[in-house]
Formats: sequence, C-alpha cells, structure tokens
Amino acid sequence: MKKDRIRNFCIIAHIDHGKSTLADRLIENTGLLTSREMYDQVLDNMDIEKERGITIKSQAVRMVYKHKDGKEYILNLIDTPGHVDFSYEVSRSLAACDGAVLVVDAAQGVEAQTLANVYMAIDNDLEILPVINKIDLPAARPEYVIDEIENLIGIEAHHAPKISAKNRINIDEVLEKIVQYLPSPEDRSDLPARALIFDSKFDSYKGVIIYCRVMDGVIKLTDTINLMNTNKEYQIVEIGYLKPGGFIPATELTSGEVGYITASIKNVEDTRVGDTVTTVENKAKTPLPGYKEAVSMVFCGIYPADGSKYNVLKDALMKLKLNDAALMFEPESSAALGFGFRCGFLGLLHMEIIQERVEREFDLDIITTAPSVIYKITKTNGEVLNVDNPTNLPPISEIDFMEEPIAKAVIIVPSEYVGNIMELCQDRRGTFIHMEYIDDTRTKLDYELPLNEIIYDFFDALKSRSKGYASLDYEVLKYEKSKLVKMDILLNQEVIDALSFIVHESKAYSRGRRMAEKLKDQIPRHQFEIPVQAAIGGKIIARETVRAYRKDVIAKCYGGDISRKKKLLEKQKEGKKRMRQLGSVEVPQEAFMSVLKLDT
Amino acid sequence: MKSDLRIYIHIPFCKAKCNYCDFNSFAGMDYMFKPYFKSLISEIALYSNELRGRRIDSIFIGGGTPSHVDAQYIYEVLDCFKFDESAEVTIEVNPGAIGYRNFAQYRQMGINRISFGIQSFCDRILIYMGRVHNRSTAINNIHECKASGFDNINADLIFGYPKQSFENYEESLNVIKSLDIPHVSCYSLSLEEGTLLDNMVKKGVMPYPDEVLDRKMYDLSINSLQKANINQYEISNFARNGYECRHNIGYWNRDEYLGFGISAHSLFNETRYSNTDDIHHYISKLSKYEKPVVHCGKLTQDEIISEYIILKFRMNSGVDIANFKDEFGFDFEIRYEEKIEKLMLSGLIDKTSNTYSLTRLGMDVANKVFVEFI
Repeated sequence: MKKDRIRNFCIIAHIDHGKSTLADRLIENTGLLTSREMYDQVLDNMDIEKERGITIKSQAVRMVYKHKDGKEYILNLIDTPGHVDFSYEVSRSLAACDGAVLVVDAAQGVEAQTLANVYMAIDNDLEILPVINKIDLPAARPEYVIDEIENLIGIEAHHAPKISAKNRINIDEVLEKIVQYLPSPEDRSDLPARALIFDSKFDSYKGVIIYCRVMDGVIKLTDTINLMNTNKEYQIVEIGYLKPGGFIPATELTSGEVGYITASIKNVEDTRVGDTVTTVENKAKTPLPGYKEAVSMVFCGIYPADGSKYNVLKDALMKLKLNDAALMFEPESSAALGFGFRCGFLGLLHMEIIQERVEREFDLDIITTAPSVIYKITKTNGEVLNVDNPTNLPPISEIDFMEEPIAKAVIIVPSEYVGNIMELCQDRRGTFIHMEYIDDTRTKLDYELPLNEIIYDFFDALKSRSKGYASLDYEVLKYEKSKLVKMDILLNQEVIDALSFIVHESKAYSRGRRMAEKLKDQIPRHQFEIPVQAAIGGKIIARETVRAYRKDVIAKCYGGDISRKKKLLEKQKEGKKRMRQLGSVEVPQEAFMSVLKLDT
Repeated sequence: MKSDLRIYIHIPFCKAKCNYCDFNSFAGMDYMFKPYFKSLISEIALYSNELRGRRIDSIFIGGGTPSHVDAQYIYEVLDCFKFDESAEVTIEVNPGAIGYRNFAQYRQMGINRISFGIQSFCDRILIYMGRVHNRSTAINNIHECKASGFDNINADLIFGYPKQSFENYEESLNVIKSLDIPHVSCYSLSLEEGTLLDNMVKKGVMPYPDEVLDRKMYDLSINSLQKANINQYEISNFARNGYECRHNIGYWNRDEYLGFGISAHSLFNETRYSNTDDIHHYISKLSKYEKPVVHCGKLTQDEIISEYIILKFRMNSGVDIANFKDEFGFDFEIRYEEKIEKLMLSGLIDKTSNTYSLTRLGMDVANKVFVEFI
C-alpha cells in the first residue's frame, strides 16, 4: 500500500458534540457496514458507554474510501475517549495519528474540553480539520462558530464542512476533506521496527490484543516482538487490520499502518498504552517518546456490602483491570467495613465508571468510601509519606507539614454566570489566574484549584451555578503546602474510620457540622439514642443526635392485613440489607459517600 | 376429616370517615347498600364448593361499620351460612351508629359477640379522632347491648393519639373495667400515610404522636387490665379467661378462612387470595358471576414457615417448639439458632419451658423480631 493512500486520524470533540455519531456515519458511508447492520455508536461497545454517551476506551477502525479522484484510500480512525480523566490515553491515541477531525457543535461552540483536546493535538503536530456539526439545530450559528474556532484556537476553519452527523447531512464532504487536508504518513519502512501501542485489551481466546500504529519499519507475522518498556518478548500469533467489531488478518503491518497484534500474551499490564513494540529481527535502539505510567489521582476504598463477597469483588477488580491498566487496587481493611480494596483512579469519572461496572457486570453490592487524593506528609523526623487514605495519616504531633495536589483548571462559562463561578472557585480555595472573553457571550476562566476540592462535588456545583452551561477541564499541576486536618466522625462515641476525611482547616467547622447533619438524616432511628459527632484531633466540633425510637410494631394484624403487613416487613428487611453494622449502629451504604454531597 | 373454617364478611360503609382511618370504607354511599349486599350474596354462592362439608367455627362481620346498615342486610348474609350456636359470631358496631333494637335483632340471627369501636371515653379526644359518637352514647350503647343478653363484648381503644394524655387514657381503661367488659383491644396509634390525621400532623395542626408516652400507655394497658383479670394474649388484645376471640386467634394460628366483600382476604389450601378494593369493580364482577379476586398466591413452604413464626410471636403463647416440629418436621431452635441467640441477647424474645415468646421490650419493637423471620 502506497503511503499517500493512508490517512490516520482521530476525532476530537467536547462531550455531546457528536463525535461518536460522526464516527458511525463515516463507517456507514464507506460501506463497511450497511445502515441496517449499524446500530448506534458502533465504537462505543460497553453498555455504560452507550448509556452515558461517552467513550471510555480507545477503539480503532479501518475504512476503505473511494475518493472522487477515482483512487481508494485507507482511512484509519482511532476513536479516543473524550473525558479529561482519560487524557493520557487521548494523548497516546493522538500520537498514533497524523491528523485530527475537530468536531464542534454549531450551537454550543468551543468548550473547555475542545480546547484541551485541540492543544493536545497541536502538541502532537497533528493537522486539524474542523467540522461544524449539528447545523440543522434551530440554534445553530455555524459562521459564528467558525469565527470562534479561528479566533480562539487560531486554526483556519473557513473550509470546515458544515454537517449534521445525526441527520446524515454532508458526511461525504468530511471524507473528501480528510483525504484532501489531512496528511498521509511518511514512508519510514526501511527503519528498524517501532509501533506505538494506543490500546490493548484482553480476549479470553486470543489473550491480549495490542492495538498499534506502526511508526517505523515493518512487523511481519513471523516476527517475535519485543515490548521495549518491559523488555518482554513474544512470538506473534496473528497480525492484521481492524474492522468494526472484528479483525482482518494479514501477513505484515508496515510503517504508517494501523492494526493489531496478538502473541498469546497473558497479562494486559505488559502491553501498556504508550509503550513501543519492536521486533527481535529488526530491533530499534530507542523507544518512541512519551511513554508514561498511568498515574492514579483519586483514591477510594471499595468494600463488598456483604463481607463474604470479598473474593467476588477481588475477582471483579482483576477482570476489570485486564482491560483497564489504569485501574490500581490493593487490599486494605477497615475497622468499620472489614476487608476491601484501596483503588486508584485517573479521576472522578473513572472512579464512577469502575464502581458502576463492578455493580453491574458482576452483580455486586459495594460500599465505596469518600474519595481522597494523595497528600504528601512531611513528618517532624524528616520522613515523607504519601497518604491516600485518611486513616493512614500519622498523629498531628508527628506531622511537620502537609502538601496537597493543586490542579490547573480551565472553565468556560457563559459570561452571565462568571460571578457565580468565581464565587464557587473562591469558596473552593481557588487562586484566580486569568480571565479571557472568548466572545461577547462566553468567558474562559483559569484557576488553580486544590484537587481535594474538585473531587468533592465540584462538577455538580459548577453545573448548578451555571444552569448546566459551564465546562471544566483540569490537570494536576503541582503540590503545595496546605493547612489540612483530618476530620473524624464518631457514631455512638466510636470513631468510624471509613467516614474520616481530610479537609482544609478553614472549612473544617462548616464541613464537620454539615456532615453530622447529613448523617443524622441518613442513619435510621435505633432503639437507643445515637450521638453523631465530628471531631478534629479528639476535639468535638459538631454534634447531632439520632433520636431513639420507642416502638416499631404492627399493632393490628388480622386476616386481611397479613399479606399487606408481610410486604411492609419485607420492605423493612430490604432496607436492612443495605445497612452496614458499625459497632452497635446500622448505617446505610449511601452514608459513606455523604461527604460528597455536603453542598447539595 | 377437614378442619373447621372461619368466615369474614366485610361491610365497607360508615356514617363518617374517622381522621386516622386508612381502611377501605365509605361514608355517604348508603345508596350502594342494596347492590353491594346483592353482590355479597352472589359471591358467597360462588364458594359453595369450598364451604361444602365444613363446620364453621367463627364468623366475623367487620368493616367499616356493619351496624350502619339495616340489620336485615346482615341477616340475609348470615342466612347464607350453616352454623350453630357453638360458633363464635361477631359483629363490629360503632356507638352512635346502632339502635337499641339492633342488638335484639343481632341475637336473633345468631350473633353472640359484639365488638364496639369505642376508641376513647373522652369527648375531646373523640372529636380529634373524628368519631361520630360521644362518651354517653357509648356507655348507653354498652348497657343496651348487655340488656339484650350479650356478655361476650369487646371494646376497641386507641392510645398514643396526639393530645391524648396519660390520665385521660387511664380513665378510658377504668370505664371499660367498671362496665365489666371481658375483652379489650388496645391499639397503639399508627399514623398512616394519606389520612386526615397524617395531614394534620404534617401541617402542624396536630402534634406528632409521642412515642415515649405511647409506651407508657401500653404498659398501663397491660398492668391495669391485668388487675381486672383481663390478660394480654396478643400484642394488642386482652381478655378474661375464656373470652379470647376465637376468630382472631384463628388468623394467628393460620386456620383456613374465607373472606367475602370488597378488600376481603382468604387463606384457603395454603393460598392467600385478595378481593378487589374497588366497589364498582366488585359489583360488576359479581353481576357476571365471576369471583372478584384480584390476587392469589400459593404460599411456598418457606413463606408458610415465616408466617407461622411471625403470627405465633404476636401471641403471648409464642412459638411452641414441639408444635413447630410437628408442623414442619424440623427443629426451630436448630434452624434459627443464630437469630434466636441474637434476639435473646438483645432482650426481644425469651424462652420459657418449651416456648419462645416476645418480651415486653420485644412487643414494643416486634417488627425487629418479625423481620428476622421474613
């Protein structure tokens, strides 16, 4: 295959701007699948992706497109996750491309994630083809959005196809312009083999399937591959191209091509995204640049609601990890919750997705503790600790100082809500950096915000203070010294370790008070009075009381009532199942997340 | 040889709806008497197979307010059944919704037990409850009842009602004792969603029921009645020896019963049936000679066991280990060892010789015990 007939590209967009729909249309229009075979959003395979309308895992597909110049082109589309949590995967996917299609909603215009993704594409030297989507919406203003792209991002946009992916308007123009405007890969077939892994997943028959873009050289079916980061070697079993939901075996992949390799690899961790594949036969000296270990940013404890299901939970996490190398977990135990796992995630969304998948795909009831970030603790003896679980915080007397991660946050918001959002950022200990008017209706705010504040319902607060219009992108920038304290929660005079959280000194009182109020409402009445207390270093700062109940009895129960009363008792029993016995107190599972909902 | 059968008949009509009531009852629908009773009689006819060859040990005519309808209607219904004077036949009556002549009529048609919806002897509380009668009507009615030859009499009382004081409940109990009534049902008020009282409480027109006071009143019921030899035999029921309600004990022993009328339930052949709640649906079904059953469910063995334990625990006689083994063929104590131990430890149940029963505390929070066995 001549290199000038190949286009490797991705589609980047803010969530809901129509990325996956456009991908579907391209696949449909190139005849890979008839529209009858198409079901919505081919590339979003997981139920959870379809439901939430987001792409979690990268996917790739190879399309054959016959251009009006009469020649056939191979278009390799590498679908990238849209969310900031997965930005590392995005950056690796982008590195596998030569160009990017930037989808912008004709009504919404440029959003925070659009910017973040575009900058990443530019960092990877990608050529960008803007596409204005949803032009058939009544609120569409394509010309305005084109100006916005040119002014705000600084790329040429007057040639952008104006389309509606949903209603199949101008899809061919996108294909045409991909060929016309996006570059073909350079021919580097004579160099030692180097391929970039942009995704890998576990298949129970084939073992790990590596998705890669060959940058240099040729990889042949008969070769033995070497994974440069781990230096592990495997004899290739199968090599070839990708099609939606399947594979096209081939004998080799050459530079510029995108495809898959299987080699009876058992452990997906050996094939981490970003690593370089070379061959023993034609070994490269240095790996491709940019490999990074996935770094967990947010941590929480996950426990089986039913303690006897520990092994089921372990199995579930191991299975999820097979396809999600960014998921970290290690066993931990809590006095309150028994045995469980400390899990590390790329971000909040990643955390939610894993929690949801565990519950859904493995039918497990779990209790998750409040999320935490990594705090750097310098002890008075000079020792430095990384603490991701409030329980592991050393006593105050041993702490010299603490540092917390600070994120650089970009918020784009309609100008009328700027006041609200600035107030919110202020309230969340944000440092104002910069403000820029994108146009006469929208403003871009740059803040430095403690990650600790972002993980506590910041998204919800942001949305509710901007009628849902504000968009956010963040990345961790640095660690800063901070006056943090550990808040303990006592139920019936006992500290419940799983409810402890770390909070900035200035907000400790109000959070402690609200936490106690919240728990008071969530904990059902018992036969005895339950004091709910919030304490810092043994000093009680807030107290609420769950009143005791004196009766819980069906006083009247005769013939006609028996079935009805049984239902009542069954309901009571169901409620009890969702309770966790902590000492003498039964606590509903939701209570463990209540620290997240103190503002709502 | 088939065991005895019990019959329940539901009369949904009332003179007025009480503030706390969430039963299926109608006020101001007297024009429905005729079609309703016609349907009731048709319904009974549809059960001739089930009734055939079975001795009836008790009949309970409940409501609503059965005394609100002409006694002739009651007579026609009772006339559908074969029973003799050994059967316990109860009718619920409400003071103020019954006339002197009615008692004699009831006796004539074979009714031998009268259950009065007294609720309280305090006029102020009766107004808060939305009852149609007052103290003196109630006392007069009870005298009339006795004069008509009834001695098997029950009085229903409610305690824990908002604004009801301890003294004023105590006084009601004293009136009962002075009237020499052999059976009392004392019900702790339960605030039911959607009732007028519930609304009033939520809107702050009436105070929330005071649970601590409620339990004091419960203690008082048990102790004060005991002094008059009226002993507790179920969570809410008290009787002099020999005056316990056979019909209700039948429910708690899971005897078979057939219920007729709207919202009536049956337990027959280990299946629970419920009739429609809708009076128009009920009448239209029966006009086509179809049973008005809207739900029926054959009980599994587990459900039977669970019902057995829960219902037995309601009674002071409790769960008899030997009887349990006879019924189900396995050992109660072994099967439920963990639960029993937990409940004993928390002081909710107790063991005396061969039975387990609720403790006084267990009666306050009986649902906690029941939930363990559901």
